[in-house]
Amino acid sequence: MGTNIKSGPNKLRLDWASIILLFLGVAFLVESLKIWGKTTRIEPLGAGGWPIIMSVLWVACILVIMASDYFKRQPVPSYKIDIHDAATLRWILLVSLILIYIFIVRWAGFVMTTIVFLFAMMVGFGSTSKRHLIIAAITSVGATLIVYYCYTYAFQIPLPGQL
Amino acid sequence: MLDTFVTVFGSWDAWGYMLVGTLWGLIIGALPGVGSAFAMVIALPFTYAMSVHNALILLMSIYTSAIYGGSISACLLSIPGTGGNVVTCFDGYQMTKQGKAGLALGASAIASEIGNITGCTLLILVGPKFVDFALKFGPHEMFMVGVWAFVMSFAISPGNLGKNFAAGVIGILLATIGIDSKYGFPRLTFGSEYLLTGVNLVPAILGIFGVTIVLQSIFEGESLVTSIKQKSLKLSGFRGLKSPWIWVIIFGSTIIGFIIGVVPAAGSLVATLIAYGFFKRVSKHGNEYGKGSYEGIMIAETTNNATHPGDILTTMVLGIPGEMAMVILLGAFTLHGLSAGPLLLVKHPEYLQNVFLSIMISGAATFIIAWTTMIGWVKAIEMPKMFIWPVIVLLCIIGAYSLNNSINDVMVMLGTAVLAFFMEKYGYSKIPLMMGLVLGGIMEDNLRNALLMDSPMAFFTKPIAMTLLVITIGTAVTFIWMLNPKQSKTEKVDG
Repeated sequence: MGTNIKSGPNKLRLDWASIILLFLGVAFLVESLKIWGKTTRIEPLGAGGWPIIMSVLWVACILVIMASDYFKRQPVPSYKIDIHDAATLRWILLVSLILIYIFIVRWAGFVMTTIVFLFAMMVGFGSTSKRHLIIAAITSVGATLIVYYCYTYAFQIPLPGQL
Repeated sequence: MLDTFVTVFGSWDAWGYMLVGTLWGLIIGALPGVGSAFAMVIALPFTYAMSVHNALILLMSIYTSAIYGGSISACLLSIPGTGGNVVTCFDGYQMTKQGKAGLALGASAIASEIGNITGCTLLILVGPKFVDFALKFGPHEMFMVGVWAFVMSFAISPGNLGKNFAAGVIGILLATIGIDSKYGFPRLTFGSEYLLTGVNLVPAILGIFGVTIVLQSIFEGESLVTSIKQKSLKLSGFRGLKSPWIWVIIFGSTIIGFIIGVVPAAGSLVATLIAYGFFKRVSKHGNEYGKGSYEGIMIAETTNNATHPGDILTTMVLGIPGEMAMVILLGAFTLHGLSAGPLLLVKHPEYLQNVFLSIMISGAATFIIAWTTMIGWVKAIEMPKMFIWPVIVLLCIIGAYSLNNSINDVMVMLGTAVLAFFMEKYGYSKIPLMMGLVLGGIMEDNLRNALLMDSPMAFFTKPIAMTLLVITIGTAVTFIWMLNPKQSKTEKVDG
């Protein structure tokens, strides 16, 4: 994936992470203000006091960071996400697989879903040579069965899809 | 003590329980997200039919070996098995990436054993005297301990100090999501029922330290087909002990760990963080910490193991458990008709001696088992990542799920992983984010209690709170202005 450095004295340098965090901080501050005053008759800080203090601190920190980046006139890295890049695709695949697994395992059961999940990840992460596919298949089945029997019978830890 | 040893360990079943407990704790401790408390809970019902001595032997053996078990996953996978192993990840995993997993595990085993011995020695020699000191810690003092640990966390983290501080504040705020502990109404849930349970610590640890590593590895385009050849360097762990400075570190870490362990609810994470930050400042090799430093692992594991005897003492003498595992210990006492408190030591001093002996012997057994199986762990990590990462992700999912049998926790794990991933990408370190999540609850609860009891001026009039405030300010000044005067102005460009 590529990293483009944008610089120039007259361009507004934006760090997208700071902007997103700033909006999140404001959202938390607004949410905190809703509970402010509900319990301040009972205790000085109340249930809303600490979240408000931290939200204000959060927003202030981000504003200082953004101001510092701007006035330093320093290049701010922007990460261009290349959807065709193999590593980016693998990243998206991993997150998607986890989400799909979480939602399907409750209905399809642990063993089969996990075997498919592990195999899909191993194939997605590695090469598709015949040797690696065979090892991936054996490892998926073996790891799933070991985890299933150990967690269920030895450790008695419930697994997703078993309740 | 000798009489207690003969009485307690004079029968074969005592040794059997010790061995079973050690193996059980080691295996469970190495599993991501499970921890010593779970291992002890499973064993607790079995102790009903045992004598008090055998029950203590079993539970203490599990507890002691699980601590080292947690360092295995911390060093090899950067997933701490317990909160006290978080700091071990900093250097342990870096060593593994450099092909020195054997050295990481060896150093960890040595430090664990030394921490056990020195912590237990302090427990027997001066332990009961520290109980009076621990009783002086009220909400004001506990709040200041939390603030000190928080300052330490963003000060020792790599990168921009301002962004690290912001990451810590974000972690503290995330810790407030959920049901308010005093009044029982929802806070910061945005109307969502999924956020009512808040951000639990175990899923957050698994997400930030487990899944994030996998996400980073994939995003950076690392080759997942090849593997890192590991050198067998475990004996080098002993060579490091020749340096006198290491013994200063061991002594200092033990003192810090034991004292903070005696303070109720402070925990091994706070202790390891404070010790790590202190020695990073004073050591000549402090700038190597976090990059695969032998000293870093010695500090982390010695402090971690030295904390627990102090924690056990507070639990037995005051009846105040510092962590979940201690709650289970109290449960074991109740099962056998005993009550924790000062009278326990007066009427049954042999129980404290039993704890001491169990930790020492189990620690030695853990060391021997760990040393003999180390080659297996090192060889396992040599497998290509395309086979290891999926299993790690699966274990993290199961670890998060097993907390409350809830998919919500798995979603929290994934959410914190993605959040930590993007935050690290833009220069916000995940270490203060994690510490904020841990310390946020401690700081808020104690601050609210402190303000209920006294005016804010009490922070300046109570001697211990004032001392901690001065230490915190000194720490901040030292790290922020003296050690990090300028940040790097170069940006990394990837082709």
